[in-house]
Formats: sequence, C-alpha cells, structure tokens
Amino acid sequence: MGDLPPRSSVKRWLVTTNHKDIGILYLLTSVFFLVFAGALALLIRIQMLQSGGTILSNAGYNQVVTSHGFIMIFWFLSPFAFAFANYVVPLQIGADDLAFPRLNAMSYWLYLFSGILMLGSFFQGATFMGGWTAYAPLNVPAYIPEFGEVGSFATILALIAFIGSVTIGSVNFLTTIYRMRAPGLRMRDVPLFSISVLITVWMMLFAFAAYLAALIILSSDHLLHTSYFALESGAATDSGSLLWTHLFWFFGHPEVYIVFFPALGALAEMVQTFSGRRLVGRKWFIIAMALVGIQSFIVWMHHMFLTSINLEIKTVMMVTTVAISLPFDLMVFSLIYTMIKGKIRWKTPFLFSLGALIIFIIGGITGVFLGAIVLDYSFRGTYWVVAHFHYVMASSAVILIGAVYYWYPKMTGKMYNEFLGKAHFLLSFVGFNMLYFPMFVVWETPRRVFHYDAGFSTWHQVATVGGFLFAASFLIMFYNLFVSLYSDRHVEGSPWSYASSAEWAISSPPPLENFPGKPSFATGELNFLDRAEADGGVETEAATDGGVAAEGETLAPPEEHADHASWWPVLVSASVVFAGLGLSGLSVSYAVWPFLFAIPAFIAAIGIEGARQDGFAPIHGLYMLLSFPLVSLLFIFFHLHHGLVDGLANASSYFWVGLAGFVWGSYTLVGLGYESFEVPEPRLAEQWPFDSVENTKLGMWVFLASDIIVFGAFIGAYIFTRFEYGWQDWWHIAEDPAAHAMAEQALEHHPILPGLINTYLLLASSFTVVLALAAARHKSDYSLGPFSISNRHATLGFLTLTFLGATGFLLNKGIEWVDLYLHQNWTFNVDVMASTFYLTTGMHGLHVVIGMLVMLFLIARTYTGAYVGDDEDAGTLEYFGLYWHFVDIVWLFLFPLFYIL
Amino acid sequence: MLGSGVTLTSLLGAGTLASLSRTQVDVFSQLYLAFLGLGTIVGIVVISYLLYNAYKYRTDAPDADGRYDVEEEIDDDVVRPQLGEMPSSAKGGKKLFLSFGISAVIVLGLIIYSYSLLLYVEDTGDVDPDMEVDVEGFQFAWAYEYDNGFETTGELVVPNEAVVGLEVTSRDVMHNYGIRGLRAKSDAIPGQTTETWFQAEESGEYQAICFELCGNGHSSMREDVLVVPTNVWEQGQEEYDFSDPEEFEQWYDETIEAWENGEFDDQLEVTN
Repeated sequence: MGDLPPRSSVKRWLVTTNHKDIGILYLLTSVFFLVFAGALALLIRIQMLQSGGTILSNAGYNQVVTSHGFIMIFWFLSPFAFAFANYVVPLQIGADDLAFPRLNAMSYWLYLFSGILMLGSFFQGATFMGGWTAYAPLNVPAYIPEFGEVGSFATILALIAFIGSVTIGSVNFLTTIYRMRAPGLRMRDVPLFSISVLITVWMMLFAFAAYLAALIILSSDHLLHTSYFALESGAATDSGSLLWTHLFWFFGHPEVYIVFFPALGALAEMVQTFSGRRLVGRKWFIIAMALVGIQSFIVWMHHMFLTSINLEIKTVMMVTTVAISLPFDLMVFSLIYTMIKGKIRWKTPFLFSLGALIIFIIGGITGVFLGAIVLDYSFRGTYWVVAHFHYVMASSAVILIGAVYYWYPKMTGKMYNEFLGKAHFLLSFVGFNMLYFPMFVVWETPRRVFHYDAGFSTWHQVATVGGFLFAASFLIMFYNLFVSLYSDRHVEGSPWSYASSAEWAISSPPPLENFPGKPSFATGELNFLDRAEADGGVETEAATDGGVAAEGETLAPPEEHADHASWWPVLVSASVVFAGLGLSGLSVSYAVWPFLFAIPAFIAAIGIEGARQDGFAPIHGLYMLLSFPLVSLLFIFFHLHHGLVDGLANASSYFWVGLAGFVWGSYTLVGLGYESFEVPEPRLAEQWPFDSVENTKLGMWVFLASDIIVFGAFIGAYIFTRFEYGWQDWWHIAEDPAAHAMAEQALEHHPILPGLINTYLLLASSFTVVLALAAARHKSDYSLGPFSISNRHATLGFLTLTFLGATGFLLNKGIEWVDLYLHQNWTFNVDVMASTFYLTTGMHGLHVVIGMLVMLFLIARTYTGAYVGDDEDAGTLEYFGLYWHFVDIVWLFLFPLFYIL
Repeated sequence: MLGSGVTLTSLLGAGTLASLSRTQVDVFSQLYLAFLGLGTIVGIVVISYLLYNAYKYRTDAPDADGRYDVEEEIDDDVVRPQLGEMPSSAKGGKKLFLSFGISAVIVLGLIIYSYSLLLYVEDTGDVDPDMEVDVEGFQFAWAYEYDNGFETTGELVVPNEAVVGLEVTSRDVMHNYGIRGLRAKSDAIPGQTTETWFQAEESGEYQAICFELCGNGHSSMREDVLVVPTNVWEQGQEEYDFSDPEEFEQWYDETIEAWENGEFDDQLEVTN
C-alpha cells in the first residue's frame, strides 16, 4: 500500500504493481529464459554435429530437448509477448493501469517463481525428460528413471504454477480491455496489438485450463499414485495414452496461436507504421484472427493422425486444419497490400517484420503439407515437423525482437543504434535460415534422436553453424540496447512517423500515471481532458482487487489516491517455490499433510491479521483459539497414521520445505486479502459489452469460465476413460475381484445415499449464501413481533449456515471415503475407476474447502463491520456467492456421473 | 492364426500377389512432389511480391532534423495514419478477397486431391494383405509375431512385393513404428491397436525406427527390416512348411545368418 520508491531502488521492483514496471520485469525475465533455453538449443546442435552424438548422454539429451521446449514455449515466448502487452495495452486503450494491478504483479511473480522451480529441477537429479509433449505413460514414475522422478515432478508443478500466472493474467487483461477503454474507443477501434492480446487471452483462458486439468491428473498420478496413465503394477492403462494426447493437444494447438497472436498484432502495427499506410482490410484482419482463435480449439487431433482415431474424425480434423490456414492467408495478404503506395522506411523494426513475414510464409506453406494426412503419416516424428514449427513459432520471436526495437524508445526515452540494429537483423536472418532450412532438406531425420544417417551430417553441421550465428546476433542486440540506454539520443513522444496509437502521444518513458489528462476519443480522435473535469466532483467509485476498500473516501481525483505498492504479490508467489519444491519429493504417505497443516495456519492468520488491520474483536480471538484444537486434531490423525515421533523424525526435508511453503502461502494470502489497496474504476470509460458489470464481477465470471473448462476436462477425462473400458462395464470391473491384483481390493458396494444427501446440503447452502447477500444489502434491521435482529447479524448467521452446510458436505464425504478407502480397501490406485472417482470428486471437495476458508475470512470481516450497511459494498459477498453457486452446479454434474449412471 | 498358412502358401503357389496399383511409397512421392512443386511456386511468388512492394515503395528521404524518422507528408490520394486517430482501414479490400479466394482454391484443390489418396491408403488397409505381422514396441526394440505364430525380437523378414499388413501396439510406453524407406508408419500405443501396411517394390535392407520419444534408449531404437527377393522366399517355402512356426524359425535363422554373412549382397536392391 502506498507510494512507490524510485526506479533506482531495488524495493521499487519488488513492490511495484504498475503495468509499465511489470512489463519491464517480464521483458528482462523472459530474455533471461531466452538465453537459457537458447543455450540448451546450442547443446542440441552440438550433439547433432555427428550421428551418435558428441557431448550428451541419452538421458542428458532427452532432458535438454524437453526443457528447451518447455522453457522456450512457456517461460520465454508467451511472457516475452506479455511484456509488451503489459506495457502497451493500457497505453493503447487509454487506461491508467490494468484492472487489477496487484494481481498483475502476482502474475509476474508467479511466472518468475515457477521458472525458478523449473530451473531448480535440473539440480534435483534430473529435470523432466519425456519431451515437452510429455506423452503418457512415459510421464509417470513407473517409466521415469529413479534419479529423475523428483525433478520431473518439480517440472510438472512448475508448469501448474505457471498456469496460475497465466490464468490470473488472462482474467486481468480481459477485464481491462473490456472495461477500461477511453471514452469513445469502441471495441472495433481498439488498436491491433491490443486486439490480438484480447484474442490471445481468450484462448489462454480456455486452453490453459484444459492443460491445468491434465497436469493435475498427472500430478495426482505422481503424488497420490492414482492410475489414470499407469496401474499400480506399472502397466499402462488402456486409455491413458490417448487421454493424455487428447487433453494435451486440446491445449497444445491453441497454444501455438497463443504464442503467435500477440506477435501478429505487433507485426500489423509495425507494418502500418513503417509503411505509412493504414492496414488494408483491418476489419477482416481482426475477424480472421478471431476466427482462428475459435477454430484453434477444433483442430487438435491433427497431432494424432497416426493414433487409433477413426477415418471420419481424421477427415473432420483435416478439413478444419486446412481451413485454418486460410484466415492466415488473408492476414498475410493484408500486410503485403498495406505496403503498396506506402512510404516504407527500412528501419530495424521493419526489417524484422519483413524477415518474419518471409519466415512465416515458409512456415505456413510447409504446414499445409502436414495438413494432408498422407504426407503427415510420413512427416510424423521427423525434422519436417521440427523445421515447420520453428519457422512458425520462432517467426513470432523474430517479430517480437522487432517489437523490442519498435517500443524500446517508448520504454526508455532513448533511441537505439540503427546500424547495430540492422547488423543484428542481417546476422539473425541469415543465421535463422541456415539453422532451420537444412532441417527441411534432411527432414527424414527422426525427431528427438541424435542417431541419424551418416549422409545427413553435413546438413546438420550447417544447421549447427547457423544456430551459433543466430545466437551470436543477440549479443549485438544486448550490446546495442545496453549502450543506447546511456546515449544522448533522447526521444520525446514518438520517434516514428505515421505512428497512430495512443502510446505514441505521450512522453517517453510515460509518467507513472500514463496520461497528462483523461484520454478520450469521444470527438473521433485522441485528446486529453482535464482530470478534475472528467471525473467531476462526483465521488469516484472504488474497486478493489479482492482487497478491502478503505473507509472514508476523499473526493480527490483518482491519480492522487491510487495505490501502487504492495509487498503481498511477491510474498504470496514466493510460497510457490517452497510448496512446489516440497511436494516434488514427498512420498505418498506424507502427501496431504503440508496442505492439512496449512488450514489451521490460515485460520490463525485470519485472526492475527484481522486483529492488526480491523482492530481486535472477539472473533479474531476465537479464530486464533480455534486453530489450536485443529492442530491438535491433525496431530492425532498424524499420530494414528505415522506415529507422532517416528513420523516427524522420518519426514524428509521435502516435507518440511513443503510445510513451510504451504503455511507461508496461507499467511500471505490472508495478508493480501486484508490489505487495503485502492484501484479507482474509471468513471468515464467505454465498456461495451460489459457496461453494467463492475470489474471484479467480470473478473470473477471470467475466472469461473476457465474453471468450467478445468472441470469440463476432468469430466471429459472420466467419460473418455469410461468409454474405453465400456460404459456399462465400468462399475462391474471395479467390483470384479478378478480384475484386481488382490481380490479384496475390489469394490463391494458404492452407495448412492451419501451423494444424494450432499446434493441437498450444497443446494441448501447455495440458498443461504444468497440470503446472506440479501441481508447485507438490507437497509434496516429485521424484526418479527418482539424479535429483532440486525442485518449484520442476519448476514453473519446466513454465512455461518452456509459454512455449516459445507461442513456437513465434507463430513458426509469423509464418512463415505473412509468406508470406501479403509473398509473396502478401494484405494486410489487399485483401478482406474477408483482414480477417476477420487480425483474428480476430490477436486470438487478441494473447491469446497477453499470456499469454506474464504467464508471464514468473510465471516470475520462481516463481524467487524464490512460488507453490511449503506456505506459498505457487499460486492465481495456477491462474488463469493458466484463462486459458491458454481461449486454447487459442478456437483450437480458429478453426482449423476459418479453415483447414478 | 488359422488360415495363415493358406495366405503364406498362396504367396508361392498361384503367385496371387495382391496387385496394388500404388504402394505407400508411390502415394507419398506423388503427393509430396505435387505439394513441393506448388508450395515452392506459391512461396516464391508471394515472397517475391512482398519484397517487390517493400522495395518499390520504400522512401529514400533522410530522417527529419532532430528526429529518427522521415518528415510526415500529406498526400492527396493516400490517407496516412495520424497520431491519435481512430483506426480505420485503407482501401484494397477487393484485392484482398481476390487473393484470398485464389489461395483458398489452391489449398482446397490440394486437399481434395490428397484426400482421395488418403482414402486409397486407408481402404487398402482393409483389403486382405498377403501376410500379417503383429508389431509390439517395447523399450527399446520391436517384437514381431507372424501370422503363423512365429515370434522374434530381431529383424523383420518379409518377401518383396507382398502386401504386408501391420498391427501395431506397445507393451509399455508410446512408440511410433516407422519403416522409413517403405513409408509405413503407425503409433504404437499401449492398450490400443493401430494398423498400417506396406509393399516393398525392391528387396533390400530397410530400417524400422521409433519416431516417438520413448525413454533413454529412444535415440538408437532402430532395427533392420529385411525384404528378401521373392525367389528366396519361394525357395524357403519349398524347403520348409511356413505354416509351422518351428520350421519357419529354422528358415528365418538360416536366412538371417546368410544375410549377415553377406550372401545376399548381390541380390538386394536397396540398402537404407
């Protein structure tokens, strides 16, 4: 909370929530990962110098190939693009910052710490070595060499943390672009780069959710030894391999557009600026992009043409795949036609744009080859694929390098050295093509293999030389950009002629508050209104991103009371490193304990932080006291399970690290929740189509949309697996002693009643949470005859009832699980049926638990006077209610699927 | 495996080889050539046109004083972007759709053409092949089971010109079975069976390679496939009862030994 220290201070970069600072942090971090993954790529090229390899072992090569893919795609390409998105999108649409600045900082820190977790995996024996596609069952412990098990799991957990970053970022950008545009800037008027980011985050929101589900399933196979992909015996399940490919590519194909689209948007802006001509067919360009965004979700099986999917499905996927190349044709032609009659200046950004277009055209044409199934049969698993996707995906890197030169003057206020920029382009373009084009020539080299035909070696050596040239070209860029920082080539507003979007209309680098006045397009072109006038004497509506509005607002203009600094994002995110590190090495018998022990820590933290922030109230004391019996209870369970002394003595250091991570995470999350952090919602803004939804509510809707996909993927995985085993046979197999390693593991009975009772409990709790909100918004106290109850107490009562309903749900579920797991010996890994049942309903149970923890926070806040009454905003209760209804609705799907059918 | 002997005998006896007009190699080569030809032409045309325009409409004007870019000019016939304007399109939409239409026709044409070949390849898989071999991938080699019941984890030995159907699966993790010179490829997935086929037109040594990362031995997971000349196979059938796995094994062992001793060197047409 409060003001930012200057940029020269280290503290500034730890506490900042400003989008421009975050953009720069993203940029530097992603470039670090580029260098790291680039070094890995050079290792690959050195290994390929001769058939049979040179310097790497089998396991070493597999690790390098795998982590090169992971890091380039996840920790370099997307964040590199989002560095610009962070910096430029608010400037282009005329917003002071993103809608949720603290969450934006959290996105960055989660990204960084997930990357650290990923890098750490190299030092845990070995990192993941099953390829970035991580096909099952090579991705489960049964098939990972023992020395690599811990590091592999750490990699998977790092990916999960990264998806956390991505999801928060997507919610943030969607809310920002829909709700915070300058007046007059309609959706269709949003500059192309921002539009491309919008389409990208929509894809991210859904695609990464599916990947998250896949990774949670995989983690569960690692940590809890469920058997989605391989049975207890180590044998692969009949369904696991295909299930993974479906889940992975449902994410994986949109992912290639996710990394490409922001670059495409930047390309369009650069071509427009340096051609000095408006984009031809701008509307169609945008429609084409949106079309690709939607279509990208129905092409994934073209990665699976050689699996056992049938001809009809292959045909559909072939048609959609080939059709998806057509919108790209339109976009490429639009860019080319834009140059006609232009005043084209061959500046460095334009050179990179031109080079990237050439590269992309080659990549696109060779992609059409792959769409023809018969050709794909032969190209599958060869260097044709490798060359093709580097030509497309690395073309996005080339564009974004151009974007670095394009926006560098805006970010730094200094001009780079043009000669060195051109030298960089020349060397990188030559290096790039020397690196990747030979791969088309010797395409018959199998992928991820360093034993190849002796006749291919010359071409591979050429590629290696090209790789080193390409790498060396970046040294020129680093030198250029670093030295230019201290040059006297100052830039005022825009160094470029014919630049049109709003970021060029302000000084370079822009001030903290971005604009000299309230930006507006209401007159048909950009001008800056006087702030005081624009916001008038009207009280500014304050929104908080999950935090709590400070009381007693002033009528000052927004820039004077917007908060910019918060320690919590970095503190919360740091817990991910410890929690992830701890989980990666936990044995199955210790798996749930760090999480369980974090629950009393969370409750105690609500009490402690609540007393600090809101002043001590009895409820805070109650929470602190409540945590003691909870801890004792957990200790008793722990004792029954492990023996208290032996259990703690035998616990590995991973257990303690994990415990520290979870407890730290609990405490900091509570701290974040209690922090008062002001983010004024713009009074005047173009907000179609979400005029009537406030920012936080839209954010919650968007988040729930991604959660729907997560559960959709879980339910899809269940249905898919069940079909593979025979829909009708499913429960019979679970009950068949012959189908199990030991006869007593078979399921004896699976009663419906607990599920039915739970359905009623959840529905009732959905009702009470609505009543809680109604009571909070009730203007006066309730009275019935002689009885009267204040609306605050009524709210508290209904919240508590909701909490009790959830408690009943969990208790009931606990009884059911104890019966199934302990009494019937139907443990997680005895069969696929048990795995899908426990994990899917368990994920739902986890949502219930998280909802209960949030309720405890809400109850404490309500008790001390928040949410209820005229001058309080009950919005937070409403947003929680949305979440809670969602949890109920999910159960309405799970109940029939897992109990009745 | 009933009837397997019949199939094998028919290979010799009546010489009733399933006569296919095109092998997978033919289909691939034909299609690849078409795509490569058209792709190269389209690529050259589009890239040349791009470079032509980028060069033709470049401006030689020097940077304006105190700036890093040219002076902005206002033309009468072209509306240029201006700082702070509402974005809008330039003219040229018709041309855009014309080129879009042309590329759509090219791409769709290619796809319809390639789809007909796909149907050919897939339908042929349903035709009764001359012999069938079950392939099972495991870390890190291939296990074969012939339809007479003979099993080996060594080389696959098949006669030239016979249509060989493969049923591919895996014992452990996912592999991909591919005989490169014969353009046969199929995923080997645990718990699933996939099918493909090939027909060699030239006897020789080929290689069965794993095309899906399958663990630490993946890089060197390749084994020879020996396509023996038809006369060698027929001679074997005269001397041994190929429907009996043990007799077939004798012939197989002798053949492998002869091959390793270089006795086939002058008869094999291809070494891949």
